[in-house]
Amino acid sequence: MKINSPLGEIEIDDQKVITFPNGLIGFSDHKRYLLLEGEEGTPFWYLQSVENEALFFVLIDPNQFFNDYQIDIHKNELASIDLEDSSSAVVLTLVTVPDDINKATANLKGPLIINPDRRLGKQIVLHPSPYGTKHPLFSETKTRGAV
Amino acid sequence: MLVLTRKANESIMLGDDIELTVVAIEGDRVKVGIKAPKDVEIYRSEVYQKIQKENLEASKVSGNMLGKLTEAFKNNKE
Repeated sequence: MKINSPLGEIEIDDQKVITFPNGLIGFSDHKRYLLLEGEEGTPFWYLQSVENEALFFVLIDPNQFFNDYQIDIHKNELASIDLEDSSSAVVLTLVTVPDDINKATANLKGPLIINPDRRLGKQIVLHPSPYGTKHPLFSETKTRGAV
Repeated sequence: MLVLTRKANESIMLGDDIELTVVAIEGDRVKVGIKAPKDVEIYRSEVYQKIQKENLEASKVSGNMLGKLTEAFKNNKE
């Protein structure tokens, strides 16, 4: 099966689909996604819903932008993606891209955690946390805890 | 909205397996205890709504922005 994504036409390989059993927050009806790598040498990833071709997110590896990004993942959250140890979890964060690209922000408060072996994912909410939902990607003033 | 009056240590059942207990009342703060199955996700509403709103904004990305975003990253690195 093929879908028309913002990246162009994509062939859906069922083996590669990642399931978010609870969906993302606000998108609980959409549980199955493809995780696609961005252009080589860039830290971007894309999350494409296989159930709705219009539903599409830009992700980053937060460590490539925010050197000191550290999160505690609760063991129940790890268990929900079949992991015991947070070191095996892939952590990616959603990016909001406004018309002015230079004002793109990362949501460090609601990261995605993924178990790449079992192909399971979950969006977690860090609270309390020093991180906010809008950390500028490019600004020189990457204020911590930006809201 | 259903409104119930409860005292400290009294509780409310939501369905068969979720129990909310008023643990303590201190001034204008109420401490609420929640017993729920592990797969029930519990968030403070304002935090949940904030993430939900940000997710919604993040979902509004068009294909032609992606190339620009990659460019912006490369320019920023230089």
